Amino acid sequence: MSDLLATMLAGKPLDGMVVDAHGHLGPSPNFHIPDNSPAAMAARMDRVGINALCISSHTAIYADFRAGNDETAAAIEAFPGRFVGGIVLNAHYSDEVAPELDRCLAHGGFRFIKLHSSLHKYRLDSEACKPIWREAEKRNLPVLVHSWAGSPDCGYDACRKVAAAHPDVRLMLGHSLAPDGYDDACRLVEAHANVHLDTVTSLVTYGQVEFMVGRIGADRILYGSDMPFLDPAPQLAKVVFARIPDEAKRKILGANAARLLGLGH
Amino acid sequence: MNRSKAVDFFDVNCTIGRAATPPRHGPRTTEELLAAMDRAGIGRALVCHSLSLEAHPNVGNAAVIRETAGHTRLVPCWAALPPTTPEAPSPQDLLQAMGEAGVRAVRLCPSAGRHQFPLTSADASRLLAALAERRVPVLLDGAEATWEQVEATAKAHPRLPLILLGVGYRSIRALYPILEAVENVLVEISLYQVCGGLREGVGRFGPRRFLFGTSLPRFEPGCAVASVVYADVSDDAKALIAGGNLDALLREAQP
Repeated sequence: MSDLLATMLAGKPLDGMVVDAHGHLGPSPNFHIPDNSPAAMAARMDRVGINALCISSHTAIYADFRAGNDETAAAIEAFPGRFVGGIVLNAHYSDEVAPELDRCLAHGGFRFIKLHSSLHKYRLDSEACKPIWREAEKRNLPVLVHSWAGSPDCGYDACRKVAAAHPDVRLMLGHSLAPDGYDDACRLVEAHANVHLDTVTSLVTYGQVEFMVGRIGADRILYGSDMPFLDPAPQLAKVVFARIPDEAKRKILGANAARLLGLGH
Repeated sequence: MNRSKAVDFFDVNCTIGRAATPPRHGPRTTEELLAAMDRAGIGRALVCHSLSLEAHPNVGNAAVIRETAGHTRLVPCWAALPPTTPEAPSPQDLLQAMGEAGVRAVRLCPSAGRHQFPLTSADASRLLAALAERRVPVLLDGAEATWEQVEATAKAHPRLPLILLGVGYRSIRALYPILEAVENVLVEISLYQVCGGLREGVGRFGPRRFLFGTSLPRFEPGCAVASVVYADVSDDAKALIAGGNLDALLREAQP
């Protein structure tokens, strides 16, 4: 049996480097999240064996990106080494893109840009979003986007256009065009060397990770949980229970994200 | 296998049989389903047949008995219709047939996309009253009824164990008032993945209100196993959620 699977079935924290590439922070307007504080999340990470979690606060992705980025910074400071900051930007505030990047990068705990164009209601490939892509290129920052099949703002077409237009930007497709766009997401990886996928969705579809690895290999797939929207345990299980070698699981669970984000774990 | 002996997994949310849209990668045959259960360390499953849900209860209920015969790990569950039309047996005849076939749970599918009947009609109430009297658990997919219908049904039949399948991670603000108001609503956890959901829910309502379920064959069953294994609740609570609660409910049922 896979070492990782045996560890999980025994209910022990996973060993080795586990980096969660897709998380958030704080309360949500839509629904109650019991364990949404940095302390509760860090405790949950300890319980399952996550070394570091990439976060962007709910305040930032829903409403005010500046106030939310402040929450992210505070969590990073409170739990050094446990949280990696995503700088949330909003294309409707294009004048604030460069200053906000300056402000957050000066903090030192932020490593990537996070765009939730579905909640902020703009297209990733829109004219309004161009200043963000220009700054990402200039500053060599990876960009994690919410991607969802069928969405005009962040579906296949919008993701394909930005991947092609900005080949030097390392693009992480959060949710990999869920709920039914995994074929399209893999097509984007095959066509564009800068595209990476993550494993997050509440719909823990049987065989999702095996399908992705079989199609594109394990090097550009990142484990993510959407924590605290979702508990990390079932999301980890998607990878750990996959019928793939442990070596591939280890890449997905942490090595790929550490390389992409320049983490020293 | 290095697993806690206390955790005996009994899946309350599992479907067998050919469906109109089969899982792309998931198990399609009973043998494949059993292999998937083995890999995730799941001992038993309460199974409904796809034909009961997608074709007609009379077709699928016979099929689930045939399909589970000889498989002691697969416990059959029927679908039922209210006794409104000649296609549906009377509640008494249904219970007698269940008793003869060894069936101890029933699934209801009142939504327009499935069996399309009013959950709160007089006929549905006659069926539910008969099931409640014999303590037969009723499974209801969360997408099949409104929260108001769930609460009204549970209040009208307080002895009826009403198990909500597929309760989503965004549901707490609607779910908690119902769990507070009635004691006979229980939550299946395959989609109840919100961070801290089990910890807070068990702390507030007790471990007897939550049941392990996988949504096999659509979902990876290891995900629900991990939800229980890593839950911040006591080992006793885990054992109840994993299978103890479902065992107790089926023991109590006297169709």
